Amino acid sequence: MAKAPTSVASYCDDLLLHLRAREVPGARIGEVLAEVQSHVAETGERPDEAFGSPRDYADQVAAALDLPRSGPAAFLRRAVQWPDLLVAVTLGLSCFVLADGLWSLGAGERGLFGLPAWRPTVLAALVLAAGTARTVRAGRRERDADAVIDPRTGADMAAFAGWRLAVLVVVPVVLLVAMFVGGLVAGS
Amino acid sequence: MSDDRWPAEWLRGVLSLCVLRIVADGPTYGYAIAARLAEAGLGEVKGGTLYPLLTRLETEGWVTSNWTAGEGGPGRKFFALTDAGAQALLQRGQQWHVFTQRAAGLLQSVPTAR
Repeated sequence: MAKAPTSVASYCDDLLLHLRAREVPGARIGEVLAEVQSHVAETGERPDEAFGSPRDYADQVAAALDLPRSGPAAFLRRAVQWPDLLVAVTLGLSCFVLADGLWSLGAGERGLFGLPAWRPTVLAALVLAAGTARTVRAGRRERDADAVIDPRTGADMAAFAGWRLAVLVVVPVVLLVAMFVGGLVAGS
Repeated sequence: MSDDRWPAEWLRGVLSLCVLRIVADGPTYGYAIAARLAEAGLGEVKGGTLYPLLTRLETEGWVTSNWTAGEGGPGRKFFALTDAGAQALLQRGQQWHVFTQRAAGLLQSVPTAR
């Protein structure tokens, strides 16, 4: 047994990120993570003792695969595409408009630009829903194309756990409800 | 020799050949390879060195790998020599032999320090 299973897990999380940033194929990342887990379980070493820091080890793996070395800036340039950036900005703006609209609805005031509060609120909610759907669809496609597959079980090693999705959905919803409640309190 | 701390560049030169030799004895896995290397007196080789090297050998087509389920553990990745690997081992092994003999010949007489 490894000394600290949690530290193996967090080491593997870090390593996965660094390998992704170096564009190591998903199947190979799965191999590398499985090797780390298997090796430290056998030797009882800490992962950073046996393999060095996740960053350095990712460099070594990329070198062994003859992948070109590239910095995070180059990775971002390749990974971030204009449509995605545009969607992100639109989502941010509609979140702001939605929050403002909910506050106005709660407070019984007029909304942005003096419009009836429900109009920008409904519009922002629609845009937000469409943008979220697009992002989720894109995420699904990418995960299928280059998943980090555990060579031992065939399982997706970087699966998007249910609780993460819950956090992603619940936190904004709670905040938006809080805006509405805040408006109610302020308006009364 | 108990203190097996060789200069890193020596090990870099010969490590893949030694790993190939160990795998030639039959399918084996990372930890066992590291243990064999230490036993042979070549020092402690860390996982961070060993697995990228095995990946290179696999890319060359000199070894193949497959996972076996461990009993309650996270499994082992076994490496086996291919025909091409056996050929490379034979060739490079002979070359290495000549190389070290020549180096030893040159280093046979070392002038005493003044």
